[in-house]
Order: sequence, then C-alpha cells, then structure tokens
Amino acid sequence: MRFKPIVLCSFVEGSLGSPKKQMLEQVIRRAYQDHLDQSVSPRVVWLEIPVNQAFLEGKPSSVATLMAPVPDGTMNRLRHPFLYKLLEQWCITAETNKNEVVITAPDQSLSKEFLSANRKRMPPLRQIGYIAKTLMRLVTSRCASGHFKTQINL
Amino acid sequence: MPLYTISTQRPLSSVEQQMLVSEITEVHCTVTGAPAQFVQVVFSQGVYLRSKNIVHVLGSIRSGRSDKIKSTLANGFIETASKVLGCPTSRCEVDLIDVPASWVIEGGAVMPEPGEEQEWLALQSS
Repeated sequence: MRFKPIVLCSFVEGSLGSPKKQMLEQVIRRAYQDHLDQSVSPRVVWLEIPVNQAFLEGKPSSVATLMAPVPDGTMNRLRHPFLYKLLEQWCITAETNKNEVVITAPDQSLSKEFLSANRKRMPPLRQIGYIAKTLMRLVTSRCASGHFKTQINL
Repeated sequence: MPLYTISTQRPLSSVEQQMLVSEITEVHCTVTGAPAQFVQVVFSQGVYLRSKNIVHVLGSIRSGRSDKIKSTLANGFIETASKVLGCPTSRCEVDLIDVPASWVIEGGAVMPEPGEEQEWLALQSS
C-alpha cells in the first residue's frame, strides 16, 4: 500500500500566518521527498491551540509540535537526517529558533495509535460526531485559506 | 516530550489550568527524574469524554520506562486532577503512549534516552 502520511502540526493561535503555513507545507513535502521517498505527498493538517492553552515547563508556551510519520521500520540513519532537515527548514521558514519547535517522526503505526487514543477519549457515538466535525472544519478551512486546519477545542 | 493533552468538556479557568500544569509537571519530574523543561501540557476543551469522565490525560512519553513508573505517573495524574477539579478519581482517566526518544527532536537535538538527560543538557549548553 502506498505511504500517504498525514503530518499534524500543532501551533499556538496567531503564531503562523497563511503565507508561512504555505511555505512550511512545501518544506515538509521537500523533506519527505529528499529523505524518504520521491513520490510521497504528505497532507499537512494544522491544529490550532488557543494562546492560553499551551504550556512548557509550567509556563505559557508558543512551541509548535509536529508529528511527521514515516514508514514502519524506517532506520534512524534515514529518520535522523529527515528530522534535522525538517528542524533546520522549519526554523528558517518560520523565522524561529530550535527551542520553539518539537518534531516527532514516529512509525506510521504509532502515529495511528496516537490518533486512535485521541479519538477514544470519547464514547463511540461521539467519535462519529467528532470525525464529522473535524472533516467539516478541514474542508471549510481548505476552501477558505488553502490549508487543512482544525482546532484543539471541539 | 512528554506531551500531555488534558481534555475536559467544560472550559477550565486559568487558575485550574495553571494548577494542573504545575502539578502534572511536578509529578512527571518527581516520578521520572526528567527535567521540567521537557514537559509540555496542552488543554482541549469541549470534549465529551467516555464513561462520563470529567477529565482525560493523554500523554506521549519516552519509551523505556517500567510499568511501575508508568502506573505511578498515571495514579499521580489522577490524584492531581481529582484534587484540582474536585471530582472523584473514578472520573479521571489517563492513557500513556510510549515514543522512542530517538524519534523525537527537541531543543535542536535528538532526545536522550530516559536517565541520560543531564549529559544531553550539558551537551546542548556547551
């Protein structure tokens, strides 16, 4: 089956404008193609966190978090250059420093496990509503801004 | 990493949020020995939780910790949430997911294995 990663980028509201998001999506795509597979076309989903809902070291934070899955079993000799390339390009493009972003490149199965655990916070019927609402938000934002965007609050 | 997502249905006040953040950071650091600068906490509101839970904590933590440590962490978070939000411990739930440290980059470098934080921090500051 073809590898189609969904890259989840969590960011604090107001910290990234649309032009930067567009450039970051290109950076992410290039990192996949240069380091993992030329034919990969990742889908980037932006998860917006209200400014007063993110903390690091006990204090309010504006750190962005990326989850960029790679094929199961990817060796660290491929994973690490991919991670470092993403970090370097993210910092240049977002005009930020290395302490303002955390990047995870999990095996795709672990990424799915995380998304599943996130969904299973809710009872089964509510999960259907959650998926529908998220899809609606993604489609609406894609039409309005060109990006897939949703919010951490439901 | 760790990243803890705290979900509730009702919005929490800033005082409740700050108390939860402080306590969860402290529990994590006390139980695992990891430095506070690694601990991220985000809040997700408006979430209808399973089993009539009042609060849910989803944590991504570095792999390599024993079941005993993970159980102590989960129990610590449950007690903390129960105390801060004034709800029964039976309505607080924790899920922990192990993520290999070598799959995460933070502070500009691949994360250290649990227990190797001080050497890693020294390298980062040199």
